Amino acid sequence: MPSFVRLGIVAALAAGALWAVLSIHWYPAEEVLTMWVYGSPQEAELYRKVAAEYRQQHPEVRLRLEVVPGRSVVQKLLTGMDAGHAPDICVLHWRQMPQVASTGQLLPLDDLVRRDQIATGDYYPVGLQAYTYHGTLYGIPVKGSTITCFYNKDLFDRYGISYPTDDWTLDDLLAKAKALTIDEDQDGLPDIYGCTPYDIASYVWSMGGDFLRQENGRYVSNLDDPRVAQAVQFYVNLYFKHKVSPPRPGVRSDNAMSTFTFEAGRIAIGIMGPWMLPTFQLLDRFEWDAALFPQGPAGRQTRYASVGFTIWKGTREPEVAWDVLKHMVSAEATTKMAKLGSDLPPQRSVARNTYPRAATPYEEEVFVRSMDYNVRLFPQELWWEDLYRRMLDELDAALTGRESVAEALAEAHQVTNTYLQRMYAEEIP
Amino acid sequence: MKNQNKAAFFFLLPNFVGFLIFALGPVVVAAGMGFYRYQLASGAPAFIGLDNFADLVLFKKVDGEWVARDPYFWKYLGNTLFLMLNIPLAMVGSLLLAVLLNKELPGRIFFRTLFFIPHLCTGIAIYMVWKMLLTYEPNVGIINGLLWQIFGVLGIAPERAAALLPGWLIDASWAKPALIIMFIWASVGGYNMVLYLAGLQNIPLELYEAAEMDGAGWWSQLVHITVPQLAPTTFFILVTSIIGGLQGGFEAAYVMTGGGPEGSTTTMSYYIYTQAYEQLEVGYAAAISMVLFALIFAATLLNWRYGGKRLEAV
Amino acid sequence: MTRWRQYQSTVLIYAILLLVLSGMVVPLVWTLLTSFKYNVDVTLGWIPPRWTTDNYTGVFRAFSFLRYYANSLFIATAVTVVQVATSALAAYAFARLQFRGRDVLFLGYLSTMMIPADVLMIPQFVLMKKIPEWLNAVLATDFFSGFLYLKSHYIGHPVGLDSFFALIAPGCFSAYGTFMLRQFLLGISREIEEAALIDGCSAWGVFWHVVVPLAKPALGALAIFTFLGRWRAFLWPLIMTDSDSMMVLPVGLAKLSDLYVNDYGLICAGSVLMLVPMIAVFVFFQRWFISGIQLGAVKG
Repeated sequence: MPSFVRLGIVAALAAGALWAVLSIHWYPAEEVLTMWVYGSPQEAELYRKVAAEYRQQHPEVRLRLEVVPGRSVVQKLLTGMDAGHAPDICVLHWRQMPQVASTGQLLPLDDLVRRDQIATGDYYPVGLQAYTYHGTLYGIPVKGSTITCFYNKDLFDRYGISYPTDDWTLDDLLAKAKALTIDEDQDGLPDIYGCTPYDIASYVWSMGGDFLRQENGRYVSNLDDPRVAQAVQFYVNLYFKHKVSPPRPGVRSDNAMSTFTFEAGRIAIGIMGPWMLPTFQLLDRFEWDAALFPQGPAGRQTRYASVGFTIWKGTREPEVAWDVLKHMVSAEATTKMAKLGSDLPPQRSVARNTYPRAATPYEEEVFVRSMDYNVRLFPQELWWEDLYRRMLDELDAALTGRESVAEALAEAHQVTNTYLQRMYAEEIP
Repeated sequence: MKNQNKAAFFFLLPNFVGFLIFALGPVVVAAGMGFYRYQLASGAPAFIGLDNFADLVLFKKVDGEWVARDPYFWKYLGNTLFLMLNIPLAMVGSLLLAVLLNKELPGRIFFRTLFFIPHLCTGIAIYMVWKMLLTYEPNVGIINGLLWQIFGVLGIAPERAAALLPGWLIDASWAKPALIIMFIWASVGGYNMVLYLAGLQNIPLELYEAAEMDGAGWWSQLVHITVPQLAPTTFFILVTSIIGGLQGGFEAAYVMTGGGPEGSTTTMSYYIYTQAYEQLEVGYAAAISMVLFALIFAATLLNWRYGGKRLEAV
Repeated sequence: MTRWRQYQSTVLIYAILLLVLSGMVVPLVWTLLTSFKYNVDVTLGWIPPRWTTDNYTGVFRAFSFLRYYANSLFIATAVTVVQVATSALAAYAFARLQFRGRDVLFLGYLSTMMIPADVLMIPQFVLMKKIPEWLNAVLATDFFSGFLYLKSHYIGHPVGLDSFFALIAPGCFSAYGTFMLRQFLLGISREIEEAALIDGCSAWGVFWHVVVPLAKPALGALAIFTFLGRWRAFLWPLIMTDSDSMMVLPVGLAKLSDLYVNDYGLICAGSVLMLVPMIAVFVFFQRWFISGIQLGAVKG
């Protein structure tokens, strides 16, 4: 290599290094505001855009937005909070809320909401409840929805079954599922299953039951309620007695990768939620539509799901963080979010005006209507996820027919009460 | 031999500095956490002595019956130990595979690479494929589909055949064997095979030549030369497998069964994770870790005393 | 006759290898095929009903994939080089040298492998947070806790959390590597080393001229393991970094999944892109497995 070439390369490298060093700026930790978000790639993209708008309007705020893995965010967040190093603003799913809020590391928002006259009346009440822990508001939702049904119109037509209507009941669900569990090639094994029922909670509630009840301000197990037994029996029958749902490993495993999926055309009624819409948008192998969750004896009571923004109590700039949060959950932002079509806006007005998009072949308005019924939350307690897991593990025995529903429930009842008693005994007043 | 303190100091120094700061320091702190009621991110931890350990491993008398204070710990520990049954089987498989792949075969690089593939794929791909293989319904699940065909050939009526099919992932008594089969498959050609391959390069060929002169067959050479010569490698594989086994299984259970059915595939690592980051009981999680630590340490010492020592005598 | 028997055994070996092999490549094939599927088609059999390259373009569009790739490559390579070196030195001391407290220290090394990472992460995070604070205190500055920006993009802290220091330094010292190489050295006969010592070689001379060449297969294995381990490490970079400029591939791939909905096509496309360097490293280093004593024996 001629020497001038080598010299040139060295010079170029040196210039590059110099440029890099000169263009690196240093800012003290106080000046930078950090925000963590997560979601699908489209959502992350949208958060980036909305944050960029804020930066444009407020160039003085050095807002740093980082996309983090949603499934690990609680571990990451709590490890950081424990050491006093956490993002100023963070997105949290409603089921992640009790874990984080119970530490007392989140900034209470009640006073700020009142001071700035946020139109809380426009929000679906359940949305704000989902971000309330022991009476204090710690977050504002950016989207939220509840469980609904998707059904395969082609299968319904082929076998002459009527479509689900707004007033259909759990009994109708069973009847249709039975009629649509079909062994097409006559080999003694079903090729199409009637339904996948999703989480058991909506069945328990719609039958009028609940997992826990309060006695003297303390939770005790409500699994001895006959309405719970009725709901669990109904749920188990789908699998074990009527065999209208594909087998799965336990009540709390969703078995998402089964070959028997709605999108494969092997499930007639898939009970899920609007969060599946981005996936289903390319689903054109058969005609399909959405319907409300079936009604039970106690009406239609389904589980809520949402994502919202929270602020860390340790933030150096609570006012700026609150300002950013307001921007992230503003009606303009939630409108844009709704247009992605994955979920409902948390504000009633935005949901009515933007969400049902005209151009979809399926009826999107169902998802808005589903929010008008009793949409519920789990107990917002730190211990709930752990207890719920143990409860459901006990019910597995009924799902495979190893125990009767009564036996499994009796065990779950006992496990729950033992758990709660131990928990209250350990609690230091 | 003369004392080589000075030389040893310089050889150890670079590694030891990092080891002290990044490994030993945090380990000592983590061990200490087990003696505190330490709620993650929720204020100052309170010293409670051995309470965590007592809650974890002790039994109490309820209505004249001894029950564990924490029955879940014992259940999940049992699950974890059961799932570790794959270790000896996978080790034998790895050794045989390494011996085969150590022969002068054309294309052995190709084979070695492909056998290592399960370790290059992401966990998700492996678990998904196995989930499909182990699906219960014989018109979908590949393994049960084969069994179904065999039952058909044997002339077993469909109703009886359906009852005879293993429940794999949906049955509490089949879920663990199903996972063990998958673990064996995944670890036969992986790290252990590579370690054995590397270890095999150390065995002087003269040993085999001498054995051949004495008329020793393939099997006899394997048992009398290869296995004893590989003892240090085997010790390493065993210890790291025990560590991996007692600390592992979280991802597989999470993707394949969600820890079910009936909690039969929930492992210690899952319990530690939920205790620390869901229940925020970091002190308790640290106590569980210390109990695991004690188990691993005891197993390692036993191995060292009775297994590896023969070749280790310096 | 012997040739016929040899031929027979070769055929048998190939048959066994191919049989086992057919099972091994299945997940790879599934990953490859799924990476060309729309998410809605993932459960629809193995062959994509409609082929798409959207997942590959999607991976590049969803985030700065090339940046993550470069980060991962840099980190994995740096850690591999340093870790193999420090481990080999320490392993030699543990396997060959006599010094006080050797076995106790070795057990101490082993102990650190026995604590689950989930628990260890909490003190390690505190340590990483403290390092810049200590440096600040010692040097009387606040530089180390500051944020570095390239134009308007945040690119990380100088040291501690969210820095290359956090991603590389702790990986350079490993009990695992030390343990592995020690075991391997124990399996090597000492005759050559002792001969070298008698010839007046220093401990360093023996290590460099005798032990390292002999230990090549094990160094190769450790290089493979270290590279793969870093290339696929998830928990450590997840907890220690959050900025896009410090992001590594496994954490980046995890960002593609929403809380409850997986886009398997996208994940598989990312996995396929991740595979290439791993295979390259494996193929490169496994050639070292045919060196060492046997080669010498054949030549001699």
